[in-house]
Amino acid sequence: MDFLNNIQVWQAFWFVVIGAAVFLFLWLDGFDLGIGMTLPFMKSKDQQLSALNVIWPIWDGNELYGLIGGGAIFATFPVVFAALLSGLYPWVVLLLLGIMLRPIVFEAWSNEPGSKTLWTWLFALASFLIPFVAGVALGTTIAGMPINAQGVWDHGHGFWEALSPLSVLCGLAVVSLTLLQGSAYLVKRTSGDLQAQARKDLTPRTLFTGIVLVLVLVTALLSPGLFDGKPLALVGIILGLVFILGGLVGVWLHRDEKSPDAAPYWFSSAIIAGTMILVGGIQFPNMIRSTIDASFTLTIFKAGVSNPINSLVLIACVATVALAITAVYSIIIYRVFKGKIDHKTHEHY
Amino acid sequence: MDEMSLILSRIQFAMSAGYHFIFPPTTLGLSFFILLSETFFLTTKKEVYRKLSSFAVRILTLVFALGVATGLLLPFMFGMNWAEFAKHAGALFGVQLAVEATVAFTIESVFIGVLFFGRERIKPFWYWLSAFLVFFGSHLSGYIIIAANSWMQTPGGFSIDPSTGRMIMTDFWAFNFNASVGIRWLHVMTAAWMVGAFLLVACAAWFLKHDKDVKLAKTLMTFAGTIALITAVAQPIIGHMSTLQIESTQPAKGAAMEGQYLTQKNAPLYAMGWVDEQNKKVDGIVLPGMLSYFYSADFNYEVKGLDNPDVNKHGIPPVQWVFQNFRLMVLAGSLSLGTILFALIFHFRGTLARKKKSLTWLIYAAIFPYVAVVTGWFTAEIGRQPWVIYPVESMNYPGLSTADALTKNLDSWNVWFSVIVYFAIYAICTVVFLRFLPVIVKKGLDPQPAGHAAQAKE
Repeated sequence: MDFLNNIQVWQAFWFVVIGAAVFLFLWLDGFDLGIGMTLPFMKSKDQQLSALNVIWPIWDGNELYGLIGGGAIFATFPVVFAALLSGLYPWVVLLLLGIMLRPIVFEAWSNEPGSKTLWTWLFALASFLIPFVAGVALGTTIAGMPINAQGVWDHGHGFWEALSPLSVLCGLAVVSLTLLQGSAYLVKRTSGDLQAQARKDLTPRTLFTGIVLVLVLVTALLSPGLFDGKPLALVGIILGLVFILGGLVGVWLHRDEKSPDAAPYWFSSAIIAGTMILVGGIQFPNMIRSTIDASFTLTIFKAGVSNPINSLVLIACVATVALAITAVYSIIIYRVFKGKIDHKTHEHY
Repeated sequence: MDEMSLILSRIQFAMSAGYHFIFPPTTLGLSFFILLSETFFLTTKKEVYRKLSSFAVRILTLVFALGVATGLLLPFMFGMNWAEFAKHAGALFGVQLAVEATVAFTIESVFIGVLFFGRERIKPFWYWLSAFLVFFGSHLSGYIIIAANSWMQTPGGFSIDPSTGRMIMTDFWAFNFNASVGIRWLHVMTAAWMVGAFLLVACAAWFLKHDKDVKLAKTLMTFAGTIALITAVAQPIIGHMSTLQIESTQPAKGAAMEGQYLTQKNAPLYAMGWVDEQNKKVDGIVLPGMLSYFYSADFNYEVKGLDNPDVNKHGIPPVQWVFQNFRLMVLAGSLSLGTILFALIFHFRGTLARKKKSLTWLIYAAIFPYVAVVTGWFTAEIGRQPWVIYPVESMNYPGLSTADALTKNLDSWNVWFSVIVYFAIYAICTVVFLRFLPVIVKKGLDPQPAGHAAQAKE
């Protein structure tokens, strides 16, 4: 087990763990966010109640994976954590606005349901801000930030420099993925007119997702120097595209009523998996690219913690066990609350 | 360095942590009550315990959501406003927060969903187990966070990487079992149970006052009132032990709490007072010799003051702030104890339900433990200044000052923006809490499901 004594192996390991956490977040919380954005456009209070009943018991557990991803960055790449959050300060405030509004408005709406109230719109706003800003932040780490020799956002570069074509497209891509995931999950878990509407939404949302993802890839390919020192880019792009195209075609083919209700959801999830593989391939081994000088780029080898190996092993063991237990909980909770949902489901109390 | 950014960031963090800290203690206190009720329900099968538990669960979901909303902000702030701290200590502190999210918070948030929605979906034992896991998860989460904070007061388990000057983790367990965590955890958990119990006592008082669900309300008063009394009696003792701990590891904080500028035998205790920081003295009501007696049961014990080099070697915190917050905490705790003592005497004599003014007082008295929690927190954190991570001589560690922990080149306009956004969110939080807590309470201790009522009408 000699390679375990190589600190670079551990840094790569954490890169994969963080990617996996982000994937779990987009996969599971993705439908919560997509449903949230759709909420004000639903036709009746009963439809809204059915939709919220679907995500009610599970959404905070889903959001947790995003938190785990952030925590893992803090723990294993503190320099990246500091550079990212302090550099993108005003954008992170918007992300936090979404993250904090969501549970508050959820509580408010559940005590005071109404189809087009302030709470409904605030819920949609929160559900939009989270994926959009998270996507922009992810895009910025790929496209590059003005990182200086000290490893932080260089003074004199304004916050708007985070908005490159690639980062904005990444923001839109994450929004489109969550929108599609939301419709697909409603098809799986509901019935009646709400399910029918969600099924109709599948077609435009699949199209939108496909177009945005193609634009992201093309913009990345046209960016000068983006692929310098990226050993896994080609593998990531090819493997990612297989999943993405398979998923897009799969959702398209299963958009009718004769297909199994769960099919669009699983194909839509495959698109998210493909996107993460593609992004991971393009990103490795970078954490944040520097637009000032390539040598200032924060790679996993430069930004990783230099703990002694035994403490790295201990943390990895704790994280593995904790994630395994978390997975068991998640499976239990999805089993407890499985089955079709309507507006009366959680009315018993 | 930009002074404005530093001041704003400090105010922002103090307000955010202080505001957040209204909700988690309530969660802890309610989860303890729910576990007890569910245990009684499982063993005695009496419906009353199921009803009381369900009532607490309905409040818990509101409180938990607001706790999550306000708490998620805090780890982000370490990267945004305190980036130098995040870089310096991330290898330990970040691990701790990640462990909290994966090991403890997951259990709590997943099984709260089961508590709220799962009563009819799973067997009684599994429901009890969910209540236990919510209790366990929230208290473990509390331990991990208090351990992280205590580590900043009494650091251990690390060494400094000579090439970067940053911390690296050498011993995870020395981090988690640092010198002050034990007594501080006990102090915070007792406070949390007190907060939850007083909130439920206030609910019971509301029902009695409005003549609603009286029988259940009386049981709730007995049950929650007992927890409130036990915790309110235990807390001064535990708090005193915590003071002794502070005296040994952070003497400057201890001296500031008591306003002791001079090293002296027969040291006085200030019941209340005003600190004159310029002339280094305190004017107020004095109990002669009592501080010496408190510290060692001996009036001749020499209490070291802020003039002593052993005390002030790491600097002096803002004495007025520490002194006054500490006194407010003790005052609020004492008011809680007095209130619950009289309430229970009236209650067991059977006269409480008739005393409308006492009931009104009891409803508003729920605020006292909250005041104690927040002022206690301020005492601990302001008393640590000017350090974020306290120096440790035995490890040759010079500490990390609050000013050095601030993000380099932090733009004060950015901080203004975040301060305004966060305060707007806290305003919404407060509106939601004050608007919907009464809605939940007014549904009663034994509400009929809305669906059933509608069917009955048809």
